[in-house]
Amino acid sequence: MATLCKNCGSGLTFDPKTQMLVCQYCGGSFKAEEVEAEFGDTLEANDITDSAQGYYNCNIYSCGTCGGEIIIHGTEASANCIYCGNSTVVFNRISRQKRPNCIIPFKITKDEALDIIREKFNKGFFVPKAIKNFKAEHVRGIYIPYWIVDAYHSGAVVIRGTVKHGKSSSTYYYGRSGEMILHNLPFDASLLLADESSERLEPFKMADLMDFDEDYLMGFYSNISDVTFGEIRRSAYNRAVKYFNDYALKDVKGPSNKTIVSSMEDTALDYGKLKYAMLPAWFVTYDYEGKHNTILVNGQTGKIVCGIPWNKPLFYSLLIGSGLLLTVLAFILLRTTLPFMDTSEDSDLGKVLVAIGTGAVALFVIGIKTMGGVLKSIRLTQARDIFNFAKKRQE
Amino acid sequence: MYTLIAALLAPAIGFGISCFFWARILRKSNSLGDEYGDAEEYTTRIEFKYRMDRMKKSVREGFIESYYRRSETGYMEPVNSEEAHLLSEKDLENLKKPVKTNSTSLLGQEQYDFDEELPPVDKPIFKPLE
Repeated sequence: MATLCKNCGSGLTFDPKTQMLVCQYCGGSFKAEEVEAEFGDTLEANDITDSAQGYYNCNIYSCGTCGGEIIIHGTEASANCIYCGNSTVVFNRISRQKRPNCIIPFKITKDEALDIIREKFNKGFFVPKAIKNFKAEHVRGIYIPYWIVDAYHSGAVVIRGTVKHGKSSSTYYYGRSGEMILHNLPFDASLLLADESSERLEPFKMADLMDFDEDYLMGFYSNISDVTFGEIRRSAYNRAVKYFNDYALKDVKGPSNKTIVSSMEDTALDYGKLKYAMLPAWFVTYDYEGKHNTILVNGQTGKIVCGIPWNKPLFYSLLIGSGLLLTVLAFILLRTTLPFMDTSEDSDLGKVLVAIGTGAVALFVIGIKTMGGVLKSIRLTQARDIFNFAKKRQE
Repeated sequence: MYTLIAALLAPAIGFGISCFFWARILRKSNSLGDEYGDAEEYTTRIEFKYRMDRMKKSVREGFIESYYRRSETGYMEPVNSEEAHLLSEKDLENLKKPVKTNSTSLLGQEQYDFDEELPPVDKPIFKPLE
């Protein structure tokens, strides 16, 4: 499918910088609505858009390696799979797809996306030099299909918390019940893209949502909605429960160690406001140590989502080196101060030592958990993991 | 004695602080955009209609029951002195049944394939709060 230049007949692509359709050959530029109004008759025969029926035609390409399906618009001549990075992408069929209601056009250009990534990578203390000077294998602008929903949530939770009275403490229970209205909550509608990755791309500024026009897709890929109604409902429910519980926990002020011990909730979607939308993202793929890494950049705000393999020798040498140094310092400090702390008769030395030990172990555990979070982020960035996750969901 | 205590605690302190500090630096450096969508971006209204504070016993079933009973009768004003009570298992099962709503605007809960017909979009499933 291609919209052609009025001047020279070449394919047009959408330019995020000028928000116009531009011709790469003669330099002509046109507004999307102008193209449709003035030269609608130049559209190719297979590009007849049945917008009255709510459908439009797409060129579907499929990857021979991972099986992922993508839609390629405009003048893209060659393509690599956005999920596994392999070049075994071949034209499969023309498909009649549900026409989205709205779209947020790309605001960030390809060069801007790469500049943002390079700037962030160069600031990274543990980013290996080879990655700081990374060479992008493939940079693809992709419109990700999203369902945008309004939801009403009602819930009741009971929270357990601890309140201290001097040296003693009591356990109390707190109840919170009420309602919450969520507006323009987005859910990615592509099974192949991990939900965790798409959620991290948020927020999108929904004020920029425009009526859908195929011309905004020119020069970009897009994906197909392949989720079921049940999956949207489940996703909406899970997020509404999480948000409601967070609000309830914040509303209980005073106690520490707050935990939700019981809850009951219900989430209803407002179908009158359900929207099928295309939201923009750049997928930048690079190889490092034999693995494909895919960086996501929000095509509207420029937010980067990725985990970067780290410089392990540097990290572990600093961790162990500073750990040993602090150990020596802590030993000297403790050995010097302990005898003085233990002199008074009503000394609580035992309790102080337990508190210090507990605090140290807690810091260690938090550190390990934080490292686990970084590893998880890297795993999401590894393209094959995204594919495996999708495959697991499809089974 | 003091030497032994110091020898045991010092490595825990040293490596605890070191691990915490460098892991934070690592996260800032190598995990970009790892925060999820913020609730405040999407919440147009959040209202707690009923609160109970500092209950000494866990009367959670009673609290939830009283909330859902009010839901069915149009969200009566909360009564602060209301005494929640524990329920029998049979009562709890009854509570888990769906809350009564306007059935004409309520759509089915079963899975629905978007490739086929979309649910009607002109009937909101709920009436937003005034």
